[in-house]
Amino acid sequence: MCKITMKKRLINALLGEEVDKMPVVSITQTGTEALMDICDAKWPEAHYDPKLMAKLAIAAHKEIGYEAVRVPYCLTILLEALGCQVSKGHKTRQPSITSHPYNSREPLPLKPISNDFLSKGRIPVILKTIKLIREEIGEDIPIIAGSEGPVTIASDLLEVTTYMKWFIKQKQAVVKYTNYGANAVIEYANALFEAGADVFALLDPVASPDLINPRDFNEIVLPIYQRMSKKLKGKVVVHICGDITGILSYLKETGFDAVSIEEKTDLEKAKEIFESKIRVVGNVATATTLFNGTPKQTYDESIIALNKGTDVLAPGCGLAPLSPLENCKAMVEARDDYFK
Amino acid sequence: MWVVEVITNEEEILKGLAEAVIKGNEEKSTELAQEALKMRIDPYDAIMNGCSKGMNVVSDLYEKKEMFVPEILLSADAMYAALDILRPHLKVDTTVKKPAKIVIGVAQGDIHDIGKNLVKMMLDVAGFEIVDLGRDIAPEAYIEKANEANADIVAISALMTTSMMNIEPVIKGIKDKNLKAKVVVGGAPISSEFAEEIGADGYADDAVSAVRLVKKLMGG
Ligand SMILES: [Zn+2]
Repeated sequence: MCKITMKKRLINALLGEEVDKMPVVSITQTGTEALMDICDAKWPEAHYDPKLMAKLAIAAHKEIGYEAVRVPYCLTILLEALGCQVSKGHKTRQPSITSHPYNSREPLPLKPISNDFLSKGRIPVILKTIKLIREEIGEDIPIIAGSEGPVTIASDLLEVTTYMKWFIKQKQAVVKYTNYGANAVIEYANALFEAGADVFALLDPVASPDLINPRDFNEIVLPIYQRMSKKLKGKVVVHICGDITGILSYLKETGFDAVSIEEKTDLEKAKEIFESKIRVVGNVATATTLFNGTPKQTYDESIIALNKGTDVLAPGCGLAPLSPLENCKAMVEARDDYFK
Repeated sequence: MWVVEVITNEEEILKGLAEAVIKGNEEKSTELAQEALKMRIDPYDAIMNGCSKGMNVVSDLYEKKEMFVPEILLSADAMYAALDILRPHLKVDTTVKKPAKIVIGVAQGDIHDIGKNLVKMMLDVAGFEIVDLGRDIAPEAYIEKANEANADIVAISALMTTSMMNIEPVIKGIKDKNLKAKVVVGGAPISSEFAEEIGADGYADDAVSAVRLVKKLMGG
């Protein structure tokens, strides 16, 4: 096979088509303190300033060698645009949600998503950043843009405990709030594609069996994901944290292109369940290995993931801000050696 | 005949309490707790053989992945509703050994507290005395509280790789001050290796094993 661009390699891999070697990227957040110091674009400013955000994102491609540029670094953009308050965090702490506008004992009516939704909060910052990145890196390198998914959005609009209880007590409200989150994601993700993103990463940690009964996932979340996948105009990778073995067979039916898994979910098992219907991205451990382990451990774990048949080699979850650069680089080295 | 009937009723109420907790039926557990007091059932009995029994079934089902967080949160509501009614009526028994005291919280920088709340609830129902500090708690606050409350255990959870870094200072502080509290840790990014590395006395990967761990550390 002749040499292909990084973009083509990633797209092909996500479609399950032939590639010269498996891509190595991060579907999840890539901002680390080491990169911030190298490129002089730091959190929290890099969450707010398109130039700094672009600079730090490109650094993960240039310094680590990940074959994509990935933005942003938090799971608060849509939530902020929908009315949650956000704490900025600091250099090694991500922004987080500090208020839940719909928290109440009984379901409150939802404000319609306004026509100027794409001008709310930091959405314009992200769209601008993608354009800046594209200007800087050209057409051959893919851009991955992520956001919080509908379950996570609904859980933060309400407050997660309330949302959880409503899966039993107020099912209709759960469906309504989650669909509302989905509508926001669809509008935002399609704008990201239009701005130049090649892949959309749908991050929905609250949809994990750690929190939600797989039966409820099947009954309530799956139809919403399916509706989203019909409306999203580009490649989609869904990421859910924790051990998601119990919902793999449902994720297979979403219509998305790939599922990003953590090390707690067995990659071989995922491949077996997915057959050729949907691809797997993962799953080098972010806490125990990339953050707290050695380059050698990272290298070995990357080889194992490739041996088990990962379609895209990637960290299992967002990079911990204090992850050493050498560990991240060892993933790329392992992939290169594997296909020598 | 009269005596037999009373015993049957008492049994029924305890069984009903357990069931209300398992099903997460707060109305029912409230009603039965009041009924228990009216019938002069020993509140200690109602708690241990009603609420606790129910919660033990809940833990079992949770461990077997037959029950999930939403169901457990409703069970907790039902249990606490009954406890709130029963506890003020507990007779103070000075012959019984005081329960171990546990200071619990979520590591600094972390606002995720569902996991901590599950652990707290399971420990609560297992009979431990709990001091809940809440979430996003600075290392100094754990140390201060452990000292002030003369705690036997400090339990800390972290859900993020950034916040897990804030556990080690707690352990160090407790050792430096020679406090008797043992520190147990848990949460998604934490492994038993990491727990050992930072000098924790124990690690648990879910609420049920947390109770087991604490019981083991307390020599039970
Ligand atoms: Zn994750």
